[in-house]
Amino acid sequence: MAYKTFTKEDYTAILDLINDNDRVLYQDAIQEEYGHDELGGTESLPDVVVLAASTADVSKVMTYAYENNIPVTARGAGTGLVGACVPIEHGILIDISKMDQILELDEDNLTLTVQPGVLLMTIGDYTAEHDLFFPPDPGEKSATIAGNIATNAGGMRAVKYGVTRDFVRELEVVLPTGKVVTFGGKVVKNSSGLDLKDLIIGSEGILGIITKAVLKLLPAPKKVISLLVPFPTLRQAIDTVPEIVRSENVPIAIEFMEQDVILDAEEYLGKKFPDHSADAYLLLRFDGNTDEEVEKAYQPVADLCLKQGAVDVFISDTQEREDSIWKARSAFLEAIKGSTTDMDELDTVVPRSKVNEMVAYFPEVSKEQGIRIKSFGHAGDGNLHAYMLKDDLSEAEFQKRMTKTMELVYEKAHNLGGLVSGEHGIGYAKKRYLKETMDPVNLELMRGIKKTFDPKNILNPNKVFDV
Amino acid sequence: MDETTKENFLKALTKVIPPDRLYTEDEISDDYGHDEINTIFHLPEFAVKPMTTKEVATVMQCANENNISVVVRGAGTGLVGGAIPTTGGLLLDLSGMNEIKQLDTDNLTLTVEPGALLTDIKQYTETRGFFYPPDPGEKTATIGGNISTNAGGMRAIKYGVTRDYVRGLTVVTALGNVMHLGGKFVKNSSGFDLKDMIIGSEGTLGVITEITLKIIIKPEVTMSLLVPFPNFKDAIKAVPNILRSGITPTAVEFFEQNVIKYWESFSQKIFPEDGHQAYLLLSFDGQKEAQIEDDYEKIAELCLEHGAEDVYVLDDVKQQEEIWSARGAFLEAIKDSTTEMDEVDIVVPRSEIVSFVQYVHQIATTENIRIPGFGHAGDGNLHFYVCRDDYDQKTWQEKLTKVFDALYQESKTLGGQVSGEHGIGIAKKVYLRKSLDEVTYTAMKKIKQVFDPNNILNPDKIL
Repeated sequence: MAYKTFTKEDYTAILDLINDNDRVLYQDAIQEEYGHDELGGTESLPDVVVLAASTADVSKVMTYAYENNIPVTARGAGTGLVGACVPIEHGILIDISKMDQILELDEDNLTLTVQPGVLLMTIGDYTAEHDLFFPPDPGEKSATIAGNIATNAGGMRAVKYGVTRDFVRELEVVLPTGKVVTFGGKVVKNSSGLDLKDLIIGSEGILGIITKAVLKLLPAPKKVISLLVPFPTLRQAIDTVPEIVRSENVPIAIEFMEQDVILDAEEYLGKKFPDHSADAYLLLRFDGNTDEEVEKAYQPVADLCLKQGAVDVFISDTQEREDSIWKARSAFLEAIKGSTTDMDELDTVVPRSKVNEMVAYFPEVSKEQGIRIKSFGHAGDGNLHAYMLKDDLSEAEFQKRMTKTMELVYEKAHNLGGLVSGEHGIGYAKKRYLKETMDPVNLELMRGIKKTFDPKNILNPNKVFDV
Repeated sequence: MDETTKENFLKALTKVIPPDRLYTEDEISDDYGHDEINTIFHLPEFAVKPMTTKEVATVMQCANENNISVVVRGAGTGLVGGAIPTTGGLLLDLSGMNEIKQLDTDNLTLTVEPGALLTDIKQYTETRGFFYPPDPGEKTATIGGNISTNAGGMRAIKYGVTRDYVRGLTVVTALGNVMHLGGKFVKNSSGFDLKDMIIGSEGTLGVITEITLKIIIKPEVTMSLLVPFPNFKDAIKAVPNILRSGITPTAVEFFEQNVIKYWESFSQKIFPEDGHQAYLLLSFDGQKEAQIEDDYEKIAELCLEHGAEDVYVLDDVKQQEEIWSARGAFLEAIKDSTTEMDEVDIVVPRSEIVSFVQYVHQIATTENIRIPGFGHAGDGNLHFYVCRDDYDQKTWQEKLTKVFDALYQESKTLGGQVSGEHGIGIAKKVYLRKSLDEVTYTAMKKIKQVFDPNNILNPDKIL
C-alpha cells in the first residue's frame, strides 16, 4: 500500500503538535512491547509512538496522519490476543494508556464517564466504593476500557447481564480524518437515526479511536455465592446447562472446566483448588441483595444439577473460598501458557445447544491433527476458548498443524450456526477465518462502511478484513 | 415514473407475485397511504404482499433493476410516517408473513416472521411459560416494525428495548441479496455489527424478513404501586432514588392530573385514587410473591420519604389491569380531547426530566396552547402532545412549528435526543438534521449509500 514513508520530518512535526519530548517516542526510544500484544504471534514495530494525553492530542495526530497519508494504530494496555493493536504497516502508534482518568460518576443517571485508558480493575474498584457495579467481566482485568469496547469484550457475566456493548451509553470518537464526534448519549432509549455507536463498538480500532466513554452502571448486588459442581463426564455437565438457564433464577455465570486445566492451574498458582477429583466441573455464580434471596436462587439449581448426575455441589459461602475458585478460573489462560512452549487460541461462539457437539470435537481434532488442545469456556453463552499447544513440535510443524486445526474448528463452528469470535475479536490473526466463514454480501457491506469512514485506509490497516 | 418503466416493472412483478397479492391503481387500499398519526398521505403505485424471503428478494431485484422506490409496511401503526410511500413506487406489505416459526427452549429464542404482531408473540410465549420483555404500548404493531424503530416501551428500565432482544435477522438488501446477521449466540466479536445497523434504521437499509428473538423465563408474579405526589417535581425527583436502591422496577411511569381528566371524560370512568397533582405508577415482577412484597415495601417507604402523599398497592390482577389500561389509553384520550394534535417523543437523561417538563409547561403558557403529556420517568422518554383545539390552520401550523423548534432545542441543550422510540420517519427529519453535527449526519448518509447505492429503499426518510 502506498503510504508515505515516515521520516525525521514527520517525527519533528508530530513532536511540534504534542510539544512534550517524553510523550513522543522515536527510534531507539520505542520499547519492544509496542510491536506485539499479549499473545505475541503478530509482530511489527511503529515508526513513532505518541502517548496521548487528551482528545485534542489524538485529533491533532490523526489529522496530520490523514493529510500525510501515514498509517495510525491505537493501543491500550496491549492485552489483546489477535494482534489488533500491532502496527502492521508501521507508522504512528497512539498509546492511549495515559488517558486514564475517571471523569464523572453520575448517580442520577447511573453512568460513569471515563477516559479510554482506564483499566477494567480501576472501574471495578471505583464503582464498588460507591455501591455500584459495571457488569461486564472479561478475565483480563488489566485491559483498558477502550480495548474492551473495541473488541466488544464479553466475559463471565454475559448469561445474566450481557456484554460490553450493552453497557456503553455514549462514545467520543476521533475519526480517521481527525474530526471528533460523539455517538449516543446519557439516554436509555434512542430511535434517532442510524446506530453509529454500535458500529464503533467491536470495530477493533479500524473506524475511529475512542477517546471517551459513558458507561451504564447498576446498583451493586450485595451478595454473591458460587457453586462448584463436579460431574462424572463433561457431556453430563454441559447437558445440564440449558436446564439451568431455563430455571427461574438465572446465574450470572456458567463456566465449564475439565480436570486437566484445574491441575495446570493448581501447579501454576501453587494452590489447591477446592476439589479436583472429578472429570468435569460447572462453576456457577449467583448474585442478589440478601443471603436469603441468593439462597432461594441457587437451591433449586443445586438440586437440578444433582438430578442430572452431578457428583456433589460445593457451595463457596466464604469470601476465601470464593476467591480461591475464581482466582484459579482467571489463571487458566496463564496456567495453560505455562504448561507448554508456545500456543495459539481460538474463541469461537456457538448456540448454547451446540456446546456439547463443539466440545466433543476438540479431542477428536486434537487426535486427528496430532496437536494438544485444552479448552474451557463460558458454557452459559456458548463462547468456547480452546488453546492449541506447541509442546515439542518444531515451529514449522506447529504452524502447519495449528492452521489446519483452526480451519477445521471454525468450519465446524460455522456449520453449527456459530462464529469465529465471541469476545476476542478478529484483529490480524483471525482475518482469514472470518473471510472463509462470512457471506460475501456481509463482507462487502463491511468494506463499504470502512471506506466511508476511512477513505485512505490509514486507521489500523490490515485488520479484521482486507479492504 | 414513465409508462414503459411502469409496464416493465409490472410485468416483472407478475412473474413473482400471484395476482391476488399484487395491487395496482384502484386495487390499492387507502390505508397504504398513511400511518396511525394520519398527518401525511401518499399512495404507492404498486403494492405487493410477499409471503417468503425469496419473494421479497426477487421483488427487490426487480425494483433495483427498474429503479423503483420501495417502502416496507407492517401494521401501519407508526407515528412519524416511516411506512408512507411518499415517492410513490412500490409498497411491500409484510403483514402476510406473520408466522411464528420456532420456539427453541435450549437457546431461549423465538424465530418469527416480520409480520407477526406483538400481541401474538406475547400470547404465544406467555402461554408456554416464556416472556418477550419489550413492551411498547401499541400491541397490534408488527415485530418487524418494532425492530425498524427500535421500539422501547414501558419495561425499558429493567429489561431494555427491542434492540436488546434481537439475536438474529434475515435481511434482504436493496440489491435483492439475502443476508443473515447475528444468530442464536449470545456473544459476537466477529466483524462490524451490521445487525445493530439494521435495527432502528426504519426500513432505509434493508427489508427484515425473519427474526430470531431472545426470550426469557416468564416472571410469575407482577404487582404495581400507584404513588401520588403533591407536584410533578417531587414525583420525578423520587425516581433516581428508586433506581439506586438495588430494586429495579419493571416500569416507572409518570403522569399529571390533566391527563387523568382527559382520560375520565374519554372513558366515562373514574380514575382510582383521583384528586392528586402528579403520580408515579410503578410495577414490579419476579418469581416469588414474598420477594416482590419485600421489594415494593422498600420502594413504598422510599417514596414516602421523598414526599409521596400516599402509596396505593395494586396487588390484584383486576386493579392492575384497570390502571394499566387507563395508562395505555392516555394517548387516545388526549387525541379525543382536541381537534388535531402532533407528538414529540423526546428522550433526555433521567436527571433532566424535571427541567424538560418545566420547560414544556412554560412554553404551553407563553404560546397559549395545550401540551399535555406523560412519560417513562425511569428512562427519560417523554411523550408530549401539542393540541390544536380551536386554532385555525395557519395559526396552528405556526404555533406547532414554534413549539417543536423550542422543545427540540431544549432537549438538545439537556443532552437529549429527538426520538426515544417512535423513530424519525419523515415527520422528525428536520429536527434530526438540527440535532446532529455535520460529521455524524454525513456518516449516516454515506452508510445509507453503502447499503442502498441507488437510494430506492424508503427514500425520503430519516436523512
